[in-house]
Amino acid sequence: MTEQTNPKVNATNGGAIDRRTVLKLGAVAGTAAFLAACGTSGGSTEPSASGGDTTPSATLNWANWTYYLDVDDGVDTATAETSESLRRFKKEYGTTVNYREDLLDNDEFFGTIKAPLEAGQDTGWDLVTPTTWMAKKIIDLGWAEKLDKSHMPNFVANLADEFRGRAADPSNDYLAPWQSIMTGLGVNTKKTKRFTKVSGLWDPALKGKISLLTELRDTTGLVMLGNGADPSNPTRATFDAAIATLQTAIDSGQVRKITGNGYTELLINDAALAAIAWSGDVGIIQADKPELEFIVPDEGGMYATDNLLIPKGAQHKYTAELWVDFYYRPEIAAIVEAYVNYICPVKGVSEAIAKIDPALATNPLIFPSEETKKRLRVWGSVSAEDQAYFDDRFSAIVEGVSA
Amino acid sequence: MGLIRRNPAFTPLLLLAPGLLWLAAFYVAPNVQMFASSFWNGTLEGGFSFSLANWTNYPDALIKYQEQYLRSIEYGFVATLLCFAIAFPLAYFIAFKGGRARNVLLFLVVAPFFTSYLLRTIGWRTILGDDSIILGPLKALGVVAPEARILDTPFAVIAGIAYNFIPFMILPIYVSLEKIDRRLLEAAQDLYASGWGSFRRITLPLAIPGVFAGSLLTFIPAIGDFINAELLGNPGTTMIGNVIQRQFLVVRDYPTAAALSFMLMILILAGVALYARLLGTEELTSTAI
Repeated sequence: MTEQTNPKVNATNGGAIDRRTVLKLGAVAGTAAFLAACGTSGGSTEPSASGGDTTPSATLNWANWTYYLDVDDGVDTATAETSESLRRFKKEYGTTVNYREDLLDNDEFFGTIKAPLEAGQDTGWDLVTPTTWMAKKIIDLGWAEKLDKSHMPNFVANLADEFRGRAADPSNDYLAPWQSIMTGLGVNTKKTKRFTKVSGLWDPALKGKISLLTELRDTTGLVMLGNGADPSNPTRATFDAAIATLQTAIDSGQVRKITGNGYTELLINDAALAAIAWSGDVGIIQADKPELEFIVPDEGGMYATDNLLIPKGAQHKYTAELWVDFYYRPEIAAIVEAYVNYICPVKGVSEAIAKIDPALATNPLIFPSEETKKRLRVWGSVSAEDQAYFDDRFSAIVEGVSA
Repeated sequence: MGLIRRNPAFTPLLLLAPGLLWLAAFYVAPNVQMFASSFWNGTLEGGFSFSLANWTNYPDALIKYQEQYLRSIEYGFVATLLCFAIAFPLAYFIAFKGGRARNVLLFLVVAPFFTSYLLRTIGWRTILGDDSIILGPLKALGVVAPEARILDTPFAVIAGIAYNFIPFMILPIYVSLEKIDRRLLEAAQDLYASGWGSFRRITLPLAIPGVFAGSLLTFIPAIGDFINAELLGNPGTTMIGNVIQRQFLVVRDYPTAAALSFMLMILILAGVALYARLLGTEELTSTAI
């Protein structure tokens, strides 16, 4: 198969209308996928493949988040046919990747794979892409397959140093980082005054014009930072203070919406002029709306990593490992990165991406400075009781239950 | 076949069998399961255990989410009234003045249903947007304040619900109006009844079954809806459907979610029973559907 698309076109110039449409459709796709996910359950009836199998399989089932893989211009979702990286994988190994944007919420997705894993059955997925805290939970439950690194030379060589020896996976046996995300402020600098502090969100001038995320760690983490607390070590006291800040803002009508991926549509249509936002989303919207800026607040921003993980009993473990290793080739990672605009865990990607577009190699969303990185915090792990307390209180905020 | 010939009493039973099996498998069984899980206690990770002592799940959930219940009833009620106010004149027009265009008009009523519910609702985000074709010109003319908005307000949620369920109001009312024997109206005219008089004494009473069916078909899904509040509302417009959805899928507190669902069901059944009594139960069985 010949190369059909130049990823450069995807990421920078051109395709303005397409990207806008794609993002607008995001809300639709998100909700539709969510509804579909309501009925999702695992369970392929194929007999389980033996562990020593080293023949690439015909298909590979991968669950990922939306806008998280390169896709041809004018196409909404990545498939084995519409994504350059997946096309190259197919050309090399003959595997058609069944790519599904089924991950909309860590907890929600976990609910769909929990039953088969508990029963020792195949989930139907060969690869899933949970955020580290959720990935750790899956590993701790013994529901992750150990990676066979003997046929993953690129992964071994190119995994960025910051991901070696992480607490969630000290020997890098289970997780292959996919992308890292900064959570900060998305600010429309044309329609509102640019601000760099979290408290800028509570400015009365922005009444009814801000949006928050439904992810507990992102929203309360950022608000904690704004309150001068440290989300890498959350306590009930600092958490309650953040909830109180949120409640005040909601009661005063400051907050227009609390959404998942839907906030991108609000920023595009000026329904929200400032938002708690994910770096890569802002990067994608910027292509059409340069006045939208991603700001890591003065007080700091949140940082999280989504990881490739092979669930226990996966049908095509070997092929899943092949795909992971394929992605850890800098030239493949660069193709993905030029589209998704998140932080890449693959060494050597900046040189590879410069060949696609030199401007991307200096894009602070993809390659944040050391100074910025120092200000990023990862949500700390807490006891199960504290987490349940946090979940309960944050849910009340999203459900509109006044304290 | 031999069985039926020998004992004709089996025939109705056999005819009913598919429907009964369907009800047993897809209505009774899930409800029994849900009722049982409302008496659970525990977490998804640690496992759930059943105990009748967990009946407190009900009052706990009711107290915590009373605001969402009341809001759902309020939104559902207002949306149903709104539907009635729009649907009755429209159905009347189609039934009595539609003439040959009747079928086309009825088709237009259901035409939006050819598009997905979600897409139709999201469409309103564009129509009602802050600088949309409705608000944009009004703001430019200075008729409304520049910061005014319709989207993400209670009004948008109620309007969205009314919009999405209005065909369920129009069609039953149309059917009951259409069935009215026109000779009754002619007779009223012959007896010097005024237009209003014949409407009040003949048309309206005969349309009641349609109004009854229509308002139930609108109110019941409206009260449990969560899509409109999710897409067109703000953090202060959450309905009980939003809470149930989140408790089931995100928080995964199945006992609370099940208790909430059951109370909603009981609330609706009680409301329907009361309504049926007010309008007369025989009307329920002879509704236009």
